[in-house]
Amino acid sequence: MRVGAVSRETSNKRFMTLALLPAWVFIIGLIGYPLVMVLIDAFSNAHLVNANVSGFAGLDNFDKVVSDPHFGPAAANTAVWTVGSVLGEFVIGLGAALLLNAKVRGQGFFRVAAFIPWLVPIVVAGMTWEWILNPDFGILNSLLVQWGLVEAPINFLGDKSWAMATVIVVNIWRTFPYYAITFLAAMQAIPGELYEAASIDGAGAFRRFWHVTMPQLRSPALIIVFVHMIWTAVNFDFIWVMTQGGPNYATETLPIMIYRYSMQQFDVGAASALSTIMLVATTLIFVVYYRYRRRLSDEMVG
Amino acid sequence: MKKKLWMAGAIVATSTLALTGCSGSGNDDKTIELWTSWSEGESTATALKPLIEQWADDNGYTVNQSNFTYDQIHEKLIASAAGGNLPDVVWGLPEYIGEFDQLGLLEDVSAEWDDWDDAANVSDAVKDALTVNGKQIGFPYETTVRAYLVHDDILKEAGVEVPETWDEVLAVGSAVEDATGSTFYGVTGTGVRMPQELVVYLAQKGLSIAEEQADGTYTNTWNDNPDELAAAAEVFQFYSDLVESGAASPNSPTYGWEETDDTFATGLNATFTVGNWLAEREESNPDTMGDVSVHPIPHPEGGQPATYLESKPMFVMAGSDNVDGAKALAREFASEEWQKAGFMDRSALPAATSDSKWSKDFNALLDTGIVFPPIAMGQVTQDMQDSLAMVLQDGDSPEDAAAWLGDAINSAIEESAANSAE
Repeated sequence: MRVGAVSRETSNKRFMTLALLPAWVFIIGLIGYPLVMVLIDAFSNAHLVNANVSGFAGLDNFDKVVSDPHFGPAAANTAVWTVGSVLGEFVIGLGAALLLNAKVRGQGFFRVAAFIPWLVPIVVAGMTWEWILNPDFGILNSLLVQWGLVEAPINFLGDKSWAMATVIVVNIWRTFPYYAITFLAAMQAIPGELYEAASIDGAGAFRRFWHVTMPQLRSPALIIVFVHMIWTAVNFDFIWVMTQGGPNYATETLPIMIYRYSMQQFDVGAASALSTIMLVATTLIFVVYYRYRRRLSDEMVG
Repeated sequence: MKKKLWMAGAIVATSTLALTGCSGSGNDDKTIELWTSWSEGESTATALKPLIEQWADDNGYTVNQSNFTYDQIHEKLIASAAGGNLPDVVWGLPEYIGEFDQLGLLEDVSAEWDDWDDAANVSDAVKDALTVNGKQIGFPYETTVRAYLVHDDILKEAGVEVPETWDEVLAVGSAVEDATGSTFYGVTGTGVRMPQELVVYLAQKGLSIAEEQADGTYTNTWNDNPDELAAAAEVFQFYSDLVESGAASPNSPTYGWEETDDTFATGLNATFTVGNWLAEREESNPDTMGDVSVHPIPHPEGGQPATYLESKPMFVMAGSDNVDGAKALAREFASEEWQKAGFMDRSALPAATSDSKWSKDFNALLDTGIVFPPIAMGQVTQDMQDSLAMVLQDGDSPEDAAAWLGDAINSAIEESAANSAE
């Protein structure tokens, strides 16, 4: 019996090892190897095309990145882009979830319709908005001028004072459905008895929302906000499609700087150094999330 | 137990197959990867596609043609070079020549050029534009110069004559827009066309972005020569005055080629310096393109006429598995038959020209054509855009922008030389 038990345990381990092997191959090949290469290249002389550029560079790449005059503004832009987007997505997404949770006729239609922006591919959404906002041909400027709201068309994506706010708004438009659906799912899981008890205690709509709904949304809100902070901070394609970091670097974020180092200057060393800096920053965001998550779990358990 | 192991083995085998399926299938011996940058559906594309198919059939090749914008071509080529998977034949831009040559990405086609029947019909200016360090690096598949296009009806409505000098342009100011609603003078502030525009205005002041030195290297000399720096500053001042005077749209500092072509073709802009590919807009915008006349680009008082000679090279990429076929296909694009079919009036061959204004009036400007120096232009073109943004968007002085650009160009040249494959 004992021999049989050991044999079963061994065979189970073999099975688990073999079953996990594909996942490990993917993780090592598609995440681990590139990550290690980025870390190595960050401390090396590395050129995208010319293999003759090589050797240990020490901290030179990091020095080049942080002394780049575009680094400070790009870091600030990344912070504004991330916080602005996530804040807007949270507020609009929560508001939309509350509306979609209300029992009204056509509820199913509204829920599907609200999700449409999330289904539009980023490139299509970016290019469509680019034309909507165009100062010469765009329908938005045409309407604003026609209705007398502005005297002259606004160059939303070409004016430095408008560009960042504009790309944030478009990003919010595309991403808020994700928040809305997540919050809606969480709201529907809240027991109706809690609202009934609150009503019996004399709580109005706002107090029911604040003292019943919001505490129940803390857990999904924590996950979605921190995940989106990381996703937004490292996002490249949306800004690239709409402004390519312009006008005159007004919307350049750190991922766009990485792209320029790599694909325009072919300086893989500098691109990797900046990627490493971003990796550390996003890891810090994750650590903060993890600590909040643990504290929240402790509170919920008791 | 056996069933479990069999299942696990199947998972591993499936995953392995999936992974190997991610890798490229690899070229067979007779496949040529061709990258073009035509506008789908336009006459160039519809004329050339059957010719390519016929050439492939006649010569026993399979030609895989992919279409990208020029910006995409540049970036995809670099990425492909990094991955060791370059295509065989590519439509290029003159700005790529110095950079790709330094990186060792271009095949030498000098021998094929010498054997080319039409070589004698190509002007020295075009041949020189496709020559680096004494070797030919491509065949001219599309050759144009820039001209100053004017919507005659709009200027007539505004009572404005076609300007010949910068001062005459600035004197018009917002008069055309006030009278017709169309802005007067087109400016490209960003993108691939902006440096092509700036380099012409600099040439009209007798300047180059980089001069060849005695040792064969290239350097920007503006900051070593006060007269040159002052002349460069005057160019930036001209740009600033265009916007300040109302001659150019306040949005033009962020216009790329899409916006400038569209605003001119639709008559939202009355005059613009551009190539004769806009002839194709006579079909798509017949109501607004019928009044267009062709003129030399306005130049400064005391300056010299100049225009940008854009001879686009058909590159054969280094390391092609089918280098002979690739060179033959590249040369075919420059042949009289293909030029007449796809690039009529936009050709380096005199036989592929007509008596239309899009050919005759543009070709009259060929003698004043200038080209980019054979340096790596990647960072330089970005620096040129940044310098104009300093003036038009940040309000910096033209003198500061000129001095900054001179230094930035030299830094870019030094950096590219340090990373050169040679």
